[in-house]
Amino acid sequence: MRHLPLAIAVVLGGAACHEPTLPPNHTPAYGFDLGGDVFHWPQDRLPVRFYADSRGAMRAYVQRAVDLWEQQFLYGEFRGVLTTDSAHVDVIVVWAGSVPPDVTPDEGAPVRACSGSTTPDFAPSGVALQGPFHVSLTVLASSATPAQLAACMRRTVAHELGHSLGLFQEASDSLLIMNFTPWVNAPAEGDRRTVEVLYHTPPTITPPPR
Amino acid sequence: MTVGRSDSRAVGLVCVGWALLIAPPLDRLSAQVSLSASLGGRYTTTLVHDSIVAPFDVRIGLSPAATLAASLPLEVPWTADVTLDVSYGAVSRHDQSGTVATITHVATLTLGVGLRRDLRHGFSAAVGAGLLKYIPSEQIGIFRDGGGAVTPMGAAAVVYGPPAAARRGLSLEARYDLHGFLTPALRSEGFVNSTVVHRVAVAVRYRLWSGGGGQP
Repeated sequence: MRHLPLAIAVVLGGAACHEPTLPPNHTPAYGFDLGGDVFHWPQDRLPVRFYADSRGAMRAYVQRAVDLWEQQFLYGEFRGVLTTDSAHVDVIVVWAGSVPPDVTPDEGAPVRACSGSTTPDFAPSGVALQGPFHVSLTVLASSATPAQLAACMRRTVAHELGHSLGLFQEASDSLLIMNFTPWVNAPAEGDRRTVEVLYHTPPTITPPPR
Repeated sequence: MTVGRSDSRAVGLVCVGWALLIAPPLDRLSAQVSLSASLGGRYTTTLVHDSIVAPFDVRIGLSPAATLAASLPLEVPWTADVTLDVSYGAVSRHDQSGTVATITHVATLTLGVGLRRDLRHGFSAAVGAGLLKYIPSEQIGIFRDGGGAVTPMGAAAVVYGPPAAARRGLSLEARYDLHGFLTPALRSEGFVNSTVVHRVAVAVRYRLWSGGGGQP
């Protein structure tokens, strides 16, 4: 009985022996500004609302991309939600031409079978957005199988949504989703570090009014 | 010290050892054990301090805390306590600019054992240890890979029951505990060491049942 307080003190002492937490290194892997101007969705505009073309597998691709980007953040900097009303959204994602078949994406070596583009709608001032981001996906002429095309669309949607989050530059590292031509399926550590820094950098471009 | 499963096992063994040490025969238990519940508020210190462009903290806001305790009298003036404690609060990022952004909500569940000593003038003091688990409401942010392993914790408490209130089974309780905090997501981000988290709770305690025939 008289040893119990000692045992308790030992446990308390052990619990108190933690060293101070060392913050990890947060160094962006590539630039994210647009000629010196920075954009990211502010906290009071979250969740960012995405509209996806209802044809084919676009909604699934966009939902996956939103989830992937959300998972890059540790501290609640970004949230997105997929909506069905294209009239009141922040990002619109559509097919530019033909709609590729909705098949299971090929998990093998990537094939460049598609392309994407993201267009921010700037006000004349150049430092404010006046409408939603417009993202479009295009099927390229190639010998890719439908599954390879689906894989290309899936990773390209993730890449383009990165632009809509404010990552306005391309990465030179081919292992990053924001490489000019995305070859990987998901954001990598370099993408995560970059988007984290972006969302802690004071923006100079204001979001579109709602 | 980095919190890991081996630590949890070690504290688990300590808890089991205590339980065996203090446990009288079962037929005596039901006659002597008393149950009490407490409800109050809890303050928790910073869970994570990080710096991305500018420093910021992640904290749990003031949160309600509820405790259920079973007490067994030992040799006077000692009492053994087994406690189950739960609190629930918002986990938020606090920027230097004053911006507060909620990340998610989290429940904190602790199971502890302690030794309490009656003091003078209606006071009693306790020390103990236990196991703590974070249960996030959703897997996002620092909890995107879950709440992390069960963590050992140390605890201390002071209870004050003025005679008039004690007759009604009421007392005022101040509890303190500390533990290490590190989630799998933080570890994968590059955090190596856990943060020492201190928690302070103030609660009103009510004796629900007394096996010795005391006040209900």
